[in-house]
Amino acid sequence: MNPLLKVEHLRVWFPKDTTWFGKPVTFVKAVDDVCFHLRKGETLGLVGESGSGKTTAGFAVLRALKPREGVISFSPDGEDVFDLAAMTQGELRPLRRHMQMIFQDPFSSLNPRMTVLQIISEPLKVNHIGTRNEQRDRVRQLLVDAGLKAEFLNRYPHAFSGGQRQRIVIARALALQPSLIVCDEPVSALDVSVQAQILNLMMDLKEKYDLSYLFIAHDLEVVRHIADRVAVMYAGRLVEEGTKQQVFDDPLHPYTRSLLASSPKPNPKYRRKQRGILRGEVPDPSNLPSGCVFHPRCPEAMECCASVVPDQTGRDGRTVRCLLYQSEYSKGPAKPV
Amino acid sequence: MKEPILELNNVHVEYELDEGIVYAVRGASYKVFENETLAIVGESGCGKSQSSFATMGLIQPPGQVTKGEILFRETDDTAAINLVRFHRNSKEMRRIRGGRIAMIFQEPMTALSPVHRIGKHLDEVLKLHTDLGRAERFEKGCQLLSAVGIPDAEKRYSQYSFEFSGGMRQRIMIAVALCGDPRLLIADEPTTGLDVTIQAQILDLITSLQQRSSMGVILITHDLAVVAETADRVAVMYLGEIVEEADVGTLFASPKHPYTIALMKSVVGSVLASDGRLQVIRGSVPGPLETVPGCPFHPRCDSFIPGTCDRVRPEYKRIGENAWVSCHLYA
Amino acid sequence: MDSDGAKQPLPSDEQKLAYYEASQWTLMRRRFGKHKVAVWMLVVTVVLYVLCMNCDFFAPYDPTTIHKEWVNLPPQFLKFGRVEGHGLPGFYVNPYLRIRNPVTLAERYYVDDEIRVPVRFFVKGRPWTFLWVFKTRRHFYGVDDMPLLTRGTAGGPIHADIVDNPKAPGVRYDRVEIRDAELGGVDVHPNDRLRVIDASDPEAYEEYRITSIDPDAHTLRLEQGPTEPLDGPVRVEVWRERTGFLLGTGPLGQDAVSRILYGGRISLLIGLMGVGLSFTLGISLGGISGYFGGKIDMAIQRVAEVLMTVPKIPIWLAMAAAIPKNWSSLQVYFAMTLILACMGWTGLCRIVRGKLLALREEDYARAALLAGATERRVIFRHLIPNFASHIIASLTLAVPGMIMAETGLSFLGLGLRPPIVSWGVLLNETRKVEVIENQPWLVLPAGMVILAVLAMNFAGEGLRDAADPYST
Repeated sequence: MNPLLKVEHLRVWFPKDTTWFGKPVTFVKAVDDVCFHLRKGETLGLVGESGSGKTTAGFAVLRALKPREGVISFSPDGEDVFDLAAMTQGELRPLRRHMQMIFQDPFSSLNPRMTVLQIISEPLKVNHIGTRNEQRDRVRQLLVDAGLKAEFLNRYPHAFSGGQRQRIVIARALALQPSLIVCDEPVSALDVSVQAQILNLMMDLKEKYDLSYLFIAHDLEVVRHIADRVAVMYAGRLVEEGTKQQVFDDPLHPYTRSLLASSPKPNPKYRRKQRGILRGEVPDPSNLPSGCVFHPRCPEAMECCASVVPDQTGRDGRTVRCLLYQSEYSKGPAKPV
Repeated sequence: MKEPILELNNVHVEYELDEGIVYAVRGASYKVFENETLAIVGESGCGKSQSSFATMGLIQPPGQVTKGEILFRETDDTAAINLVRFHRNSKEMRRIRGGRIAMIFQEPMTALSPVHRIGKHLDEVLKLHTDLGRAERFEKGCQLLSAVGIPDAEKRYSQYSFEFSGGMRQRIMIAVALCGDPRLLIADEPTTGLDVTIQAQILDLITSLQQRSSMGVILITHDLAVVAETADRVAVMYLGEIVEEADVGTLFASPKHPYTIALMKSVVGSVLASDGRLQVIRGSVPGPLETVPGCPFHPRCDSFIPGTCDRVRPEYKRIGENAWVSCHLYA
Repeated sequence: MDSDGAKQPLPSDEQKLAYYEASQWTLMRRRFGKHKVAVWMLVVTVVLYVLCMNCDFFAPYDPTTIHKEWVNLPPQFLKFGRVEGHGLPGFYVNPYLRIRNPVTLAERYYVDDEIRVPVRFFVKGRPWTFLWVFKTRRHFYGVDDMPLLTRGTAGGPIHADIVDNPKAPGVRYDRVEIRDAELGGVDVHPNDRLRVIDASDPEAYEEYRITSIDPDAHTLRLEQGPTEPLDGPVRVEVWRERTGFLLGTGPLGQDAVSRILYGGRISLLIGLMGVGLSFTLGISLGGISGYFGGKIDMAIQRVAEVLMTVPKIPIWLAMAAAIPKNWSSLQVYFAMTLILACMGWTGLCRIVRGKLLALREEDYARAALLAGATERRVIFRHLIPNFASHIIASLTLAVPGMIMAETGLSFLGLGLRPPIVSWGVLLNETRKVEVIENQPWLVLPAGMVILAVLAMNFAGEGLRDAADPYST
């Protein structure tokens, strides 16, 4: 049984400086050599800070942009495997119904000139599914699924609050009955108490429709709540991946450890009195450090980290990209502080 | 017990619009002491920023402070002055605003002028609030930049804001706020929108600056995690009113007001939130023009007492040494 | 599962529902309605257009009709009061009298305050065609000529023979011999009119000016009679011309009101058509540029930039001067419109391109693509409706620019020329100081231009504010 989604050595590079004729000279390496997989019925949390490339990776998976390199194996039924990276937009169109997206900003993800009915039935219309009446009924059903009243059909987006709009976005994503939904920070823009409602909704729908989520977020607490497995990204690289318990309770990569240490918890008992704070800034993606991209800020950096790019190594069903776990380097001298 | 450096008593802020009157703040009262951080927490629209704007004299028509007093004590020995008495453009108010009471805002990316060098920002505030000469101002400016953790301060002094990242811009904002040697720093959602690691740096910076100069800090936020991390005392705001005020430990361990309890239960990762389904607060926040009779939270409250909660406004009552609550359950 | 609740219904349920179900157009209309000034200005604009487009009905005279004897008359002011012979008080004017000084033989105009000539509405005047099919003679207002002699002695119609002048036989037929009426009892003056009624259609007639009267011989002399001999007697009537030049006349005696209205039709229409053309050009090129980007975008934008940097007035002058002199008025008119449009599309092109570039990145456009929509569908169904309101506002603001361009060019003599009448052409006649000093009413078209441009600017700004409420 093939995994629903398998991403191998994905690279998304944007040209930055070009010669006069348009040939790129330097690149912004938004996503660099990223590998992860997602099984059916699973939620994979993709965490990272700004510039980590997590959103770009999400867009690449859905082929909203064309990756420079890599294989994106998508298998909605577990049998046939499609390499999304190698397909043209025309070939992709029939596959699009199996993968959908939920966006971050509830205010720009709905067309302000269309009614709720038009918005949610758009995917159905575009794929020629059902008659007008059948589409209408399906939209009603979807609204109920998303926790909204069916009578909202004729209203325009400006009538709704942020949380309600996000529900409409979810209803729209469900219209085509996809197997994979990429969620790009779906609750970050919402009020705290509304976040809870939307997360509950997403978990319920996952159960009901056997969905799989690629859940992109920067809030670790949210990811801890909803994800089964977690992947951590930094400056375009995937630095660690494992089950929720593995990553949160026993983080391997120094960045994961710093990230967990820096994230405030809503409980004063866990005040960061003695823990170290990560110094420095996220690097400029067009001018990344050599070797391991994290080495300038890494509290456990060794000399070799400045020159050698670590491999993604696996153990106990999890992976990590750090020279500390590659035996040929891990005994090396530490970098002078 | 020491006197508070800032004390709000029953402050009301109203906006008179064409569509009706918006009661942004309805009788808020809280105190801030030196060398402590008071967090004002609430969801969007609850009025937490508005009460601080009132303190800073930033409420402009059609808004005004209609009732209450805001007492500010400049030094330990001077008497408190009521900031409400002064017109927002008066000399007194302008001396205090940006000088003795400083404020930093939410959006670091847009808070600095893109056409002025950051040194100019510092220079301007120093000119307004100190007597230093030009060279001295430059020195002090660089000093402040180093103090907030900007390396190479002299070189950076003459750079433009777009040459800095979000976290750095927020640090520059803090430096500008410190120019007038404030007694009270109001930080309005200073870390919203920043990365987690940068957020930790900024909060750490504010705490260490506070320790160095013993200034009071009001931290306005909607993020309970930030509150747990940095606050000494917490005031919870809902619909323009303070519904509960307590020590941070007490608030998280045993919240009293039903809204606080419900909030705790719905925030991911907090003590009261379960790992499965999160508890939601039923109903939704009423719009700005609606007025709710009696207790503002009663339509959404699980402990609603019919006949009382929908008729009578609860009193803001002291229930412990450092704890106040506004709820009929504790009347 | 509970929804986080619809906004709790307030007492005014219907109002809330109306807001929720209101499309952006409805909301825009409502926002616009709140700007009282803009609404009134829009009303003024619409009224101007209605008046000028229907100038055939609203104008009592043909703008090109030359009234040699009423040259450069000041306005006959409209007054309100009782008129002899008519029951209720109504509008009237005091007519002009021409008095010939017997000594110097110079003619002077006097306004005769004694006589009041009623101004009536929906009067019969010159014939004109309505909607290319219906013929009618009704005009909005007018002044009736005064009948002097319409019935013969017996009470029936008057007949006369029109014969040729014995001094120039076969050349001019300007002697009228009245058969069955008495000329002596009626005070016929020179400059009064003889109407020869068409035998088949009593409403139709030909008018001739009377130069002299011989009551004893029952003859009249005409200034210029019919050019062909008429066989047999014809039905005639004698009328006195009454003028109703509410805003005076021009240098050839043309009615100023009619000229302004007909001129308005040309000027206002040029505005609309010019903008329509640049609109089409601008949107198409801007759309292609914005959506596809890349080399196409670069090429189109460079062309637009070159056109924008070229100074407009010299180019217009050059193009206007290049119009062949032998072209008909209509051809010149269309050429002018084309010229104005060619320079005007660049602004809109940029706006459309900018909007498309921005909107392309919006999440809802992405969502449509991810659902499988084609790019064409995304552009037309999702993006364009989202800035249509801005386009409309821009259009309303572009029209006055076109109008002023045409007016300016024609004023300088480089655009339209007589016999086409436009406001600019009318203003061309006022370029001399004597004109402004002696016939100031001829400068009125300038006031019309100002009114039209101001009204459209206010209305356009109101529309723009309504379309984008965050732009104050």
